[in-house]
Amino acid sequence: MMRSKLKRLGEPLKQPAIAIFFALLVGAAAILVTGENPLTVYAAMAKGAFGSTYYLLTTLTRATPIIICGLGAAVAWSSNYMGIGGEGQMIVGGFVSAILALNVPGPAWFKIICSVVGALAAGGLYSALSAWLLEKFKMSLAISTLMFNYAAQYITMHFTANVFLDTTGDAKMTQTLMLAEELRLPKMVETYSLHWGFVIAVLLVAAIWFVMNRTSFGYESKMSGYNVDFCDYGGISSRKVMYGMLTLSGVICALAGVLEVYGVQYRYVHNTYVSASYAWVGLNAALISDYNPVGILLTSILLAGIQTGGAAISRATSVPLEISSIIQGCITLFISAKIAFKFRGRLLRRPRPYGAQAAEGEEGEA
Amino acid sequence: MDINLNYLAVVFNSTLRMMTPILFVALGSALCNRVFIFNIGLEGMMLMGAFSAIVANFYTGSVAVSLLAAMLSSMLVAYVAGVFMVKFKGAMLVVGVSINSLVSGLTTFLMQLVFGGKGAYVSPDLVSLPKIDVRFLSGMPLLETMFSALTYLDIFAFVLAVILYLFLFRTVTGFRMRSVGINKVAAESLGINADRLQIRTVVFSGLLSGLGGCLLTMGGVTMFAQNITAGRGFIAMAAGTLGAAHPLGVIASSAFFGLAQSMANMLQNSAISSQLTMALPYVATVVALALYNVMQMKRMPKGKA
Repeated sequence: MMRSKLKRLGEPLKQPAIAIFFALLVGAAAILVTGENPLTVYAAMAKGAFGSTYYLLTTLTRATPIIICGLGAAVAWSSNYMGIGGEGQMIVGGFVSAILALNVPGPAWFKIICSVVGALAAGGLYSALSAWLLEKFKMSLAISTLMFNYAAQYITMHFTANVFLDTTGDAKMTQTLMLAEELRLPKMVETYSLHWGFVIAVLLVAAIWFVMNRTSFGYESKMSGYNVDFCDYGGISSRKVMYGMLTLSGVICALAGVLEVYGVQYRYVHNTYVSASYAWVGLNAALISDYNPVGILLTSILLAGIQTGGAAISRATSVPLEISSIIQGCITLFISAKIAFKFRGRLLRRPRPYGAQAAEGEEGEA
Repeated sequence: MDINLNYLAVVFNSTLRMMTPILFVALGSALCNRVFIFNIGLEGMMLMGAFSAIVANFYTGSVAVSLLAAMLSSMLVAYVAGVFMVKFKGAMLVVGVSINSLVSGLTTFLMQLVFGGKGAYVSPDLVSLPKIDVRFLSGMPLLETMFSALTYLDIFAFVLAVILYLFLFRTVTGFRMRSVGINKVAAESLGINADRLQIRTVVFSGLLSGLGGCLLTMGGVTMFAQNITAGRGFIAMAAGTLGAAHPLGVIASSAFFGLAQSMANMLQNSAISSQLTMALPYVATVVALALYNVMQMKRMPKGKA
């Protein structure tokens, strides 16, 4: 009994573990090309990711937007609406929150409420636009969200550079002015980078888990994920699920941008989210953990660790920082093959008598 | 802004040069659509081709070797993508996203090993694709402007579109490909090896992306910059869809995106904000696809749309 329970808990970990192992092998080959020893590099990487309070907290800071974007991607993808617009949604959230926090008059609490609500609403509406295009024009969600990523990037750049540019400093960055001290999200530990946004991200993990597993909305979206047509047949409005899930996904990803503004940069800086590719890493985290919120939390920390570790070794050795993108791309690529393993499992089971097979069919497949 | 015939000729010329890299990749995307493959990894394949072309160029200084390197490397990436999509039944979007982040990381990684730095690599030692000599048009200055500074590869893109049109609609293999796209199971029941056909199509789309990438880095300015494709692979996918996955339709849709990009470049010297004009091709893509889909839906009988 206990053993089967353990096995059931371990089952979802098997595939990611295999994928990570092979991805590390590919990474080791890349490291060999640079002339370094993969084992020492990986050891240095682990140390640079989790080896000290400073590194650990840096990794967690980096993981915060990844966790949130991962959750945003998961709610949309698990209900079968595969948008790749996390990047644009995060940009919109960060930009709008910075602009509002800088320009709304009144006391600090009023500024914060206006800016956060405004940013989340903007992210949600922005994402709902893709849903509208899908409904009215049957436009592929992948293409519309991708195009909007670039459009959002350049349009916010236009406003940052031509309207809200910070001209006080000497820095040649395209960025807004800084938020006033009293608006900023405090650090969790003095002198370290980790801010309270990480706690918000963890709370969000719990909230999304609750919505997905314990509410009728979550159930409906799950059904929509299994089969959209069947879902309409069963009395669930697929239209409602589509708008709901895509808007929610936009709101969540916008929050990632808001927290970057309030907790890390204290301003909107053009290109920071794109060059760190938070949204894409978040999507990868969601895919690796099969849209499970707790899995996303852990995977995001792991992926953020690969990145901070990668940055640490690129300073100390001749291995470039991009080793982390290579490993990460390989993990998701190998994860994608999971359907093949399941498929093979079913083939092996086929020769059993009909009754046994029907009983097994109850398990279903995700 | 002085709009006259000469100006239009310049726009025409710049549209031609902007559209051909997209056209190559869009043709690949169209073929993939025909065999029911949604290949978002084209962006990564194009980037791989663009990078390999410059690396081969750096080491050998030969145009032929650069072209070959671009094609082979992109085909290799495409083969991996195809095997994961078709043989391992990976979700196409997931495989594509992974391929893109893998190639983006890999090219920047290798860039630092080969050229010793990130960002951009330009060198006077790099050769570019040979340009077509248009001096025979010198009697007609307008035509000379319209077709100046084009490479043979630019012209080949249009020829290839026609060849692929004939291939897709006039040969047995083309017929089989389309049947796989319409109904894979039915096609298999007729003895067509659908898996193999799909993988081969993806690999061929990789070859086309390699050519597109090579044209991008060796056509106009010969250089490589980190993530130089900047979403052109995605735009090409949109062009493939907008052109109804028909090689000749894809010429028209690629021309549209080429025009949007050349307008973005042209307007950079005007009073309009350059950041906004850079957003133009992407917004134009969405608007054009929406209009196209509305027309498609109107054509369909009521109740079916």
